[in-house]
Amino acid sequence: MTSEERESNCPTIVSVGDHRRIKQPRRRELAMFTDRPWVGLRTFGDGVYWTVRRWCLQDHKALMYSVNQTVSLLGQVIISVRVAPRNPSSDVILPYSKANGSARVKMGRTEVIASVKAELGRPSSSAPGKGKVSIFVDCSPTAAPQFEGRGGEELSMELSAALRQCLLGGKSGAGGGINLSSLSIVDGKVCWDLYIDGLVVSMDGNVLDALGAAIKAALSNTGIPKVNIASATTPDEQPEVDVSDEEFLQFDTTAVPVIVTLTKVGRHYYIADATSEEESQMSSAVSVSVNQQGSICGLTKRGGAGLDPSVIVDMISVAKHVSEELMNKLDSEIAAAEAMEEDSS
Amino acid sequence: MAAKAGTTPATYSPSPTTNNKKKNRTPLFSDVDWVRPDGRDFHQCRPAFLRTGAVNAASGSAYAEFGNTKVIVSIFGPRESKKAMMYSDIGRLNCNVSYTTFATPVRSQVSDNKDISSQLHKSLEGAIMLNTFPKTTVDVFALVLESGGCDLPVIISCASLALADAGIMMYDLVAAVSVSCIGKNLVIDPISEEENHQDGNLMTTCLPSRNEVTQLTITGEWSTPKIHEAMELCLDACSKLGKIMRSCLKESASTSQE
Repeated sequence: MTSEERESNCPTIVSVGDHRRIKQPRRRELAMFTDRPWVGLRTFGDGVYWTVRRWCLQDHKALMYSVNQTVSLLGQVIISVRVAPRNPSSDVILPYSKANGSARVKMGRTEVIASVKAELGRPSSSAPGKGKVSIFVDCSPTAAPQFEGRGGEELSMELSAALRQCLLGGKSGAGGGINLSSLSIVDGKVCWDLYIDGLVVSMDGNVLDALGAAIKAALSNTGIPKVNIASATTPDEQPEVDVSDEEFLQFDTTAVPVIVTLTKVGRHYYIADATSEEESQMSSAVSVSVNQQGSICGLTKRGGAGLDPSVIVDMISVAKHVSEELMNKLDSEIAAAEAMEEDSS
Repeated sequence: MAAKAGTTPATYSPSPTTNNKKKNRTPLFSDVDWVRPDGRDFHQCRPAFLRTGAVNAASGSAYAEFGNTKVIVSIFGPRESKKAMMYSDIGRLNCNVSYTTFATPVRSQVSDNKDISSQLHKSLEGAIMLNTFPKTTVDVFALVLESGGCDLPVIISCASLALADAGIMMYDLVAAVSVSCIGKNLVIDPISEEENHQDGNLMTTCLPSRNEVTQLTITGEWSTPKIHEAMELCLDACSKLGKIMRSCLKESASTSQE
């Protein structure tokens, strides 16, 4: 890729980085060396943040961006810029009509599909007043050849576990994005089983965040059929239920959190929404799921390298900032896609 | 192998005022009436009993008993990687956790062994110097004899002890502790009964002497200050657990010399 191509591929952007650690003089230095329009630094707080990263050259030999080359003349530490949450692109709530709800989300070249299917089932004996939700992720060989056969199993498992942890809350159900009680039809007898399936179609880093976004979009697109319960059943009998084909109840998704993964590269900086190129250099990554109120609903860490506790605390606060932006962006994209779908139907 | 038999320091607790049970409760716990099923303080861990050398055939092994949670971990290797594996200039770590059929109240209740195994792998790999055994594999086999809550943290701590017993080079021991959030209270080292009612859980595994976190998982809804509080609690408990693990290793080394 030539530097011009790079440049045109680098849109507005960016976020994250340790804004607190950057001191004034560094800022001036940056201005001197960055004659490109998309390189710069703004303070945290005006809505658009620039991603700022410092590469120690001995730390990171592959110079990814032309900016870095400019800067490498300095002989050390520098700063490059990029891609802020690559916006979940306006793609699209798709009617894969066999499912109750579905969505496709693209972030850069990462593309995932989520589908939601509701089936009638029996609640478990330990939680009679609640429905059940299961989340599975499948990595398709279309995304990468190594996923053929059982090759994608490990990643699928890791992603499913992380999503379950981020979206379903604690054992008592507190903090879950999906209100399980709303899935109950007759206490202890009938409930909805919600099957959420994620599919990774194309992979260019940050799959977990994309899956989280797709699931949120798919849920907001989900219609659960209205159920009429035949009256006058005795307590022991399995009640008869009549599932309506026409009336659907909209699923409430305001509580569903978004997931933000911060990837730590090199010694000092972390990036939101890393591409696979950047993930290849990662030492560890922390995924935080944050809901509308700004509470943390789940957290997982990837990568074996240890982190200082203060770094984790710092990453959590950065993730919270990024999540606000992502949440707003996602909400407006979902609204736009829904409007489009209505137009076409 | 009962906990009471241990002459080693039996309890550890992260809060500085552990001995005085009454004063231990900070004003944060508005729900004072609530008592833990086993009568511990909110910030008091279960007695830890640790022994190395539980299995003779293994290159290293350890047994851990935290209250009712009983775990055996054995280490095999480093030995030749399977033929199908590609060449690797760093060593591989293969973790496998299994439950006995009688570990849980309902027979064979635990189904998600793979998930627990991968969590164990993620927690340990950062502590082991994999470059010291290229081309080979170290197997970590954990068996949960009885599940009494906090299984994963106990497995992790026990596995790192077994690794040390096997003489695998590590940067530090790995200590793991989890905290449950029940209502407004933070409860350290929960038993299964508490885990079933928890609103949220935070588990930290760390290298106590390096003060590094190798794995952190959070479930449920948490505010940032609460996360800070829980993490501090965990880290403190980890460093104390680390000391107990260290003394256990020293003890076994000195007895083997005699």
